[in-house]
Amino acid sequence: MNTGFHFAPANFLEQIAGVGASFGASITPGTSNATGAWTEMSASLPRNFAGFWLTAKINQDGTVGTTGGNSGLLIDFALGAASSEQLIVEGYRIGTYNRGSQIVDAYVPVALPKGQRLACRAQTAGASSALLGVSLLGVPSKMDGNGMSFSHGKGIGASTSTSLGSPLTGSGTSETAWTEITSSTPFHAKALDMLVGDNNDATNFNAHQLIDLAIGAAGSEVPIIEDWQQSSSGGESVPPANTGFPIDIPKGTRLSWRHQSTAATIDHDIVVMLYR
Amino acid sequence: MLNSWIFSGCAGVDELTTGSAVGAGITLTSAAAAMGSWVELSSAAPRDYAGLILPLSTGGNLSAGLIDIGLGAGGSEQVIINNFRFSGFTANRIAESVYFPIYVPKGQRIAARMQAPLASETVLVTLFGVRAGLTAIESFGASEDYGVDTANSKGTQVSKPASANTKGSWTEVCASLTNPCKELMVIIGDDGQASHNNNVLFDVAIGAASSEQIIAADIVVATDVGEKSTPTRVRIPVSLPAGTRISGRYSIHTVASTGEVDCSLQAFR
Repeated sequence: MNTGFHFAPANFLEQIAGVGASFGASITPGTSNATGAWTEMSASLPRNFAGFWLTAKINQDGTVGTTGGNSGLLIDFALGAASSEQLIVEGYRIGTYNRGSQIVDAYVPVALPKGQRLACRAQTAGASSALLGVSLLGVPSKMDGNGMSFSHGKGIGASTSTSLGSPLTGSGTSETAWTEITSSTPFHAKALDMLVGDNNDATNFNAHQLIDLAIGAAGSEVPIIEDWQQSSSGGESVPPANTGFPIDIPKGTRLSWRHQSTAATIDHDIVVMLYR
Repeated sequence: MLNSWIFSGCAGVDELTTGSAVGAGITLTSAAAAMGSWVELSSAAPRDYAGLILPLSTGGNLSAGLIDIGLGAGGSEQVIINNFRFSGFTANRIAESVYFPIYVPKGQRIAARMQAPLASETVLVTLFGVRAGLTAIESFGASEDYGVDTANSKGTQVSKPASANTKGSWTEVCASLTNPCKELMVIIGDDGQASHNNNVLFDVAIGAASSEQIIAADIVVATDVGEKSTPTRVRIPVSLPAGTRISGRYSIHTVASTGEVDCSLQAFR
């Protein structure tokens, strides 16, 4: 879960979207890594929001509508009229879990302006798709400041051809080599969110891992996050853990990562959400 | 703290735990339905921190668990996070990462301990500090927990709805806040049960019984067979006076014999 970002005081969370058969607002992901259609979350946002909570699950257990083979999900949010949507959150990595568990409860620190139309879309690698149930709760903006609130979030490492993040196969119990996520970040980021999944690998061993993230040229990596505890589990049942880190990263920075496991060969994938 | 000015630039994050084993952080071990021993995570915080990030990975037999974080010398730890409810997963590992907006002064020793329904259960943790600096980051001096069921290492069981897709009755999670609260972390778990696969929408409210006012509606929660669901956590920025009553309710897609939901709170001030 992501509760690593900070917000200004308010007195409530305002519901933007989420009602529907105990499931939330239904979104149908695009299948076979095709981009899904935009689904309107709000025709006109009722106020300015500093950010919003995203809670979601997939309907893999057949309780609502169709089931399917979701295997990695990327989700986007956009503002603007239908057919003219402008991305504000792109490539947010959420779960691969193949049944009904919670797949994300995250604070997304991206501002939503009053009066704007908000839409959401998702994609999955599976040939068929389960519905995605989504609830959005806005953190109202305040005149005395909005804490950490950004205009845009972009998922670095997100692959629209796999609906996963940048993959990295484990190296037994040894630390992997540094592996590049991007050679050059596209903008000056003020914060990041590390979304680590299991690379949709059902053979992953039941084990613990430590994750490192670094900046710098190949051979000169400088860790900025070290020993972030993670786990893997049989059956793709570990949802991507995520955490916001308030770390500045200049435009043009190379990002890389590595991990180390307590056992066997473990696959992971990563999306680094950069916020500006 | 009122964020009267927003400074550009963020202060950064430090890893506070040291001496991690291969692939694994520091191990906390439970006593039976009681907190285990304190384990040092950092001998001295190297600077002031506005908050702590706690990533964790559970062992394989947990149905539920609680974690304390304390400051101070060994044997004299002062709890700053009390009875934090984390996930259970009886079959496999599960990972979470949690941010606590709690201030930690430079030089303080930081320790943690855990409990679970059974003895000798484990959770692996590392710890990060979000540097306190010019950046306007909400940070609090203390927190209190509410609604925790220490006998079962989980939260308060919330009344299950009588019919599908209809909100159940309100269940009191906090009868009365001891202190004013500026931020509320709501933690919704699967009640430590091998629950039925289900869809849940959860509401949080303040106010007296029969006069509840919703402050967060329709939070998506899931329950699953084998206690695989990580608790859903949402932080609500609030300004609640001491004495406030807080309650929860939910709707569920399939009313089954199992599939309860539990709720606990961390109130920051």
